[in-house]
Amino acid sequence: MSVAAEPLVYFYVPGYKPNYIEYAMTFYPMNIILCLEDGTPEEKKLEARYVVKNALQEFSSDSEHTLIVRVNSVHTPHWEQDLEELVPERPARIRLPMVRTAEDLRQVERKVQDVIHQRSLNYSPSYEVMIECCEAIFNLGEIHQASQNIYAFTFGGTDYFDDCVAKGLVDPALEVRKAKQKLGEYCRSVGLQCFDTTYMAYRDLEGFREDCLLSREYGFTGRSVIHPDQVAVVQDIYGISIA
Amino acid sequence: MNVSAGSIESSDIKIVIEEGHAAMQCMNMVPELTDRQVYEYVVPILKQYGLADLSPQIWFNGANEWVIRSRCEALAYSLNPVNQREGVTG
Amino acid sequence: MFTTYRLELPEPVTLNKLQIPVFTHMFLQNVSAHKVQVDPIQGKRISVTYLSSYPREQIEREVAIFLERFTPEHDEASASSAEILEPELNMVELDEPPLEKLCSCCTPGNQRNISDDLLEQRWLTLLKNQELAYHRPIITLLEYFDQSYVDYVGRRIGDCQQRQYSVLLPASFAEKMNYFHSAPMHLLLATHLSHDHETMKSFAADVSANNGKLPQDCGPYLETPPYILQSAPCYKVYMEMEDQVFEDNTAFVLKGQSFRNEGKRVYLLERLLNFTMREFVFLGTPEYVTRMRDLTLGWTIEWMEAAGLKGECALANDPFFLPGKVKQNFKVPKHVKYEVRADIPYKNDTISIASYDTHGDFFAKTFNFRLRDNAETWSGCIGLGLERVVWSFLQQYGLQSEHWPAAIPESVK
Repeated sequence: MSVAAEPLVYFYVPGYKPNYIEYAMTFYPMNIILCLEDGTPEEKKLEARYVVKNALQEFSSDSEHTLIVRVNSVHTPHWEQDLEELVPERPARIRLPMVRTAEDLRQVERKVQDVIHQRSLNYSPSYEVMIECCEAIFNLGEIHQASQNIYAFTFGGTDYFDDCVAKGLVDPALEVRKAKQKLGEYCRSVGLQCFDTTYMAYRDLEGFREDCLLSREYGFTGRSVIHPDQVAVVQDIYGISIA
Repeated sequence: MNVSAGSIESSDIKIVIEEGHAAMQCMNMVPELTDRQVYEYVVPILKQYGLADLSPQIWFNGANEWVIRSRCEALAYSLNPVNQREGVTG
Repeated sequence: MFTTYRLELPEPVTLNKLQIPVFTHMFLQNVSAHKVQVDPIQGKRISVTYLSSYPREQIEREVAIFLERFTPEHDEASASSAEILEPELNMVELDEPPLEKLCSCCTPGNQRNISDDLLEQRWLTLLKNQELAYHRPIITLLEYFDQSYVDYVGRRIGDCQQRQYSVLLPASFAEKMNYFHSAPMHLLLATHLSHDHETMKSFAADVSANNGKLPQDCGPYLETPPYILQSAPCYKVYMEMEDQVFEDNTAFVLKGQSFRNEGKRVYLLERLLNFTMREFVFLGTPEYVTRMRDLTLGWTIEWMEAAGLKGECALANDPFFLPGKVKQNFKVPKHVKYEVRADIPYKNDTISIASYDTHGDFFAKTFNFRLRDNAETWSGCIGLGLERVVWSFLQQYGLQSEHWPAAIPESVK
């Protein structure tokens, strides 16, 4: 599988919708994230897993896209089965949501290596680790040290905000900004890619543009999107280095 | 056990397996295909997954083969007694 | 079974969001493709999906011919935009309805597509050839929303003349208003066999030889269609009013079937070949017709808010009545059509559930009806698509009636 797509735009596609996947493969020549986590409702987790598995097989010779799979987090009942079915299809990268500690990441690594050994696969996994809670920001250095196979850190804004609310922090929006700043600075200091969170108000392109400019200043090098209108903004802003 | 997978959206297929359903039923939603063509396209794949004899109800809305396979695989997994802790939608 | 290929649209064609549905519809009417999709980012590329058994060269040829014709400067059939007609019509600037206020702010609780649930729970049965059977819950909802709309909006309008008509529109009547120019791709015609005995016999013989199937070419056996299946019930009001002089501003209320050849785009209650429309028609002074536009749009939004239906009013660009060729100098408003659109949460989109068309003096002049004391007589109509109301309501709240808004009576749940 090719990994030729520019590492700027990451287009989320819900894993349980094959028509969305085919559409994305037709028109979005970029990084496609086949999402089994938040993009897939709970009652569709199982069938989504098989849609994504078969999509990886179907589009294995595709040269325009980088196919990334966002599996369910280690704090759910789904993640092991996700990895058992999907690692054999050798996705370009695996996006790991809600990694709170170094041990969360090690757990995934062990499972992936088990699958690789059991199936005698020729596959070197590569991870995009999602930072989505206060604990993860605190453990950032340790998480980074836990694996040699981290391709990038990514930020999960909605979950981070919810975590701040759950912890009773006074200004969750400010906490989100501080966390993004910290994550961006860390990635810049260690020379790691860093992708920003989705921006759900996709009709507000001006707000999105401003948010992207700020995010680039923090050190983010690319961004996840949920709507085609957002693509040009991301390409425009993150395509220019401020270094 | 009643299970289903897929949807009737464009480029998809929905397969429902219900206890007590008498015979296979195939609803073609693609105007330019005959029912016979759909049947000949879908049933061999169902057979590969051991689903053809379970009297499935099928709504076909232009799914490609990889999509049909993914739906069959999900159903076959769900119907396997070993896996029934995690049901398919339905 | 299917093959998909991509191609660039010829320069200088770029499709914007408003043009994409028109392009898609016309493409599928003209090309033997199963599906066509347009690049949503730049509107410069399309993907064509066709049956793999169909010859590729043939598809490519059909696509090339279609694209050549679709290039806007050659394309009269896409005259859904008033711009092409502008120089031939006497455009009247009217005060616009307050669009920013015409918004029903409700909080629907369902984000999932309910299409599968409708079939699994047998609220709908899909029959052959995309036909549907409505079961009791759907019938109840159609009846409820129709009655509640008539109660809410009709009562506020006041005295309305009730009408009921057949679905057949005489072709001669349609010809008079240049109907066949306006949207030929949507036409559904009603015809019958030629009365000639020999033709009948020959037809029967042909059917027998064809194992009971219709002959591939029915044309030689058929009469020129004496009727079309009406695309909106309100046409019959103008037909009834032909050559009439009436005393005062008049409102009509009617319910009827609308027929539109939607081809391959037919999808459950969202897009049907024929659907039920509740209409109010207004004939009278320009001030009356324009006032009724603003009032009925406002009442429709209020009615939606009362029912819990989220949506908004918007300017539309596909008036149903303007013909492609205008022979007389009609006076029509600059913006002839406004739509009421309801949210479809699962796809972050909206669909049109009602529209208000202000025809200016188009129908009055074409069919020679007028107010006794006024030189200028206008017409306008508001039509509510009942199946789409039910569709958007269920998409917003799901099938579990305990999650429906409190305004929906127990007898409907």
